[in-house]
Amino acid sequence: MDATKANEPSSGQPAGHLLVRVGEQICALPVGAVRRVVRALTVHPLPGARAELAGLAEFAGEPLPVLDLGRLIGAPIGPHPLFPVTVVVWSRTEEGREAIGLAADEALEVVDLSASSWLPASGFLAGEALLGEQVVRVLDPDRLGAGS
Amino acid sequence: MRMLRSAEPNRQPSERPFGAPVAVPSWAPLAAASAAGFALLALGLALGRGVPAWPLAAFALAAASALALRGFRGGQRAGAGAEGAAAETAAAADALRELRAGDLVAAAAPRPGLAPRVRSGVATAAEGLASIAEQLRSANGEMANSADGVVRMTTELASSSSELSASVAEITAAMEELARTATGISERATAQAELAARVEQQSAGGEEALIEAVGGVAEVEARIAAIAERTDALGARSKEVYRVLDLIAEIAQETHVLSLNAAIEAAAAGPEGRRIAVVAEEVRRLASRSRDSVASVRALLDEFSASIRGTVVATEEGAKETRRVLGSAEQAAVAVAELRAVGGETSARAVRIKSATREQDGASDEVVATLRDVGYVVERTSAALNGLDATQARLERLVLGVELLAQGLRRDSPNSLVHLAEGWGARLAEIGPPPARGAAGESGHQRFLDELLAEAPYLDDAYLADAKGYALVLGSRRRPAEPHAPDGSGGGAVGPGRGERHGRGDREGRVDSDDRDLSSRPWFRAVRARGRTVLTAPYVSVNGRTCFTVAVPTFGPAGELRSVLGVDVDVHNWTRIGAAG
Repeated sequence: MDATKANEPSSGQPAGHLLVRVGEQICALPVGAVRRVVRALTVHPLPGARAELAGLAEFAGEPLPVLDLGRLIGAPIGPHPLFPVTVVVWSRTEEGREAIGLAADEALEVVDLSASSWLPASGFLAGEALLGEQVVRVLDPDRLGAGS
Repeated sequence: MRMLRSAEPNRQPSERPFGAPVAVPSWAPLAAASAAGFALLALGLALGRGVPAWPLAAFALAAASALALRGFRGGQRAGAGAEGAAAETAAAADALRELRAGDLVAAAAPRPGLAPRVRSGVATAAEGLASIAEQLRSANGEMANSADGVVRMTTELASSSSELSASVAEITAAMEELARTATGISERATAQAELAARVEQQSAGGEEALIEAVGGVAEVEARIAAIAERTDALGARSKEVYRVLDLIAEIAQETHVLSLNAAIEAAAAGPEGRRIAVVAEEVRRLASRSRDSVASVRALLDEFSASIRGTVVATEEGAKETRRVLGSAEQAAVAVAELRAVGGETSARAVRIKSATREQDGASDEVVATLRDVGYVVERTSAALNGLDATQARLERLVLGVELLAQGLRRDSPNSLVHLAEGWGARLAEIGPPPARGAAGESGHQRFLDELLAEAPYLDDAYLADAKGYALVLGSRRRPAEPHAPDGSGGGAVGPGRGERHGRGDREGRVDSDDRDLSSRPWFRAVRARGRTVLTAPYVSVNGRTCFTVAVPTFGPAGELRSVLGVDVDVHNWTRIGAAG
């Protein structure tokens, strides 16, 4: 699958996104960039790392850098989640792609976001979209890899 | 009551031997002495004093007198025809006349022409009569003393009987009060016993109810304990349910994640994965419904757990309260049991008190009945003792009569009232003829009467009358306002007759003219008839005092009656002062 194509919805065509919750915030990840949703992995913090980098975890026998999605988007810290998850996404780099773990409070569902609802954004955000009355912040996994 | 007392009591009679009894003429003094002797003998026997010695002496004296008369008659026969026989006979007749009149002093006096044997016999007879009279007085005094002692004892006994009667009445009243009190105690004890029995009965019922309550509370405690145990078990089961719910929720979450991954894979598969995406969505919804259901069940289970915890707390509090109530009920049961025991003991004691008081009531009734009998006997005894007053009065009169009988003999003794009166007459004769009627001023006779009243305090009044019975001079110990004693019934002196006024005059001898005629007085008439000193029988004066009158004649040179001295003797003062002594 072409990751770039998957991360950029075509005009007027709905594209599938995985909704995750971090505190009170809802974020959307393009389904094409999501490799797997797993129960929250055990994270080993890295000394001297940035606050957004929670640490390293083991996934499929390989070390997996895990980012704290709440700190990443600046969401306030909510109550302790019942079933936290780690969403493993593909982030394209110059050498290819790499897997990055995103620590979220809950994985909600897969939805189609209409392109007409997109709003311009910057940084690791691809944009913001309205889902009903809820503002959904659409993440760009490729930019996550560059930032980390 | 006062009895006569002799001035020389307890004089022992002289035992003088006399000859064998012969025919004795009936001389009056001897007859009187013998009669008095018999009377006193009978009285002595009646009083239990035994037979006195003086009656025997009286009989011996009568025998001696008979002997003397026989000698006199023999001498008369031997001297018949002699010239001195007439004089001797006349002298003997005079001596015997004096003896007969009771003047023992005159009878024993020497007489010219009297034969020595006759004189000796008359003197012996006079001496014997004097001795008899003295012994009579002595015995009379002893009898008076004894009678006085009997009177005192009788009076004390009557007083004691009266006090005893009053005491018996008080004791009877006290015993009756005690019996009434015992009856009241018995009634209260009966009520107490009934009340105690009811308390015991109700205590028994209360004890049974409390025992049942204690059993019920214990059962409630056991059931509460069972409820707590079951609640604990239910709490434990709730925890298992929580664990199951956690497992279901975890499975639902895993299913949810699995459905998401399936949807991701289906999206990666493109149009071929559309059908898988639909199935994955359905699985996700089921997982979501499972999570919602688990949440609902968890909420219900939370409420259920809260209820269980509340039940546990309430059960623990109930158990604690039940244990407290159980303890209180057990203490109440013990208290009721003790109350029941006390009620039983109280009932038993009340029954014993009731029985004892009934016995006491019966005993009190018997004591009251006995005391009433005793009181009746005491009253009868007191009445009988009071009835002795009449006997004592008769005895007093008898003693006084005997004393006056003995005093009727003139003896040469200071104990002889007649002898004393003769002395007064002699002193009066020495003063001279009495004053004429109507003479004024204080005379020697008035002074004599005053001195006489001063010398003899037992004399109340003194009168000096002429031969016609006209009161010439009067003397009185009483105050002028005090009424005069004699009423004339017993021969009283110059007092008015019964029903007459009592005015007596004053110390100067001034008297009313109506009171001066004393000629009808028994004592004056007796003196006129006998020509010698007389004693009247006792009489009761108008003021209630017993008196008698002594009347003494005085004679002129030719032997004519010149005047009569009358003195009233108060028996009470006479015996009290010891007039004879």
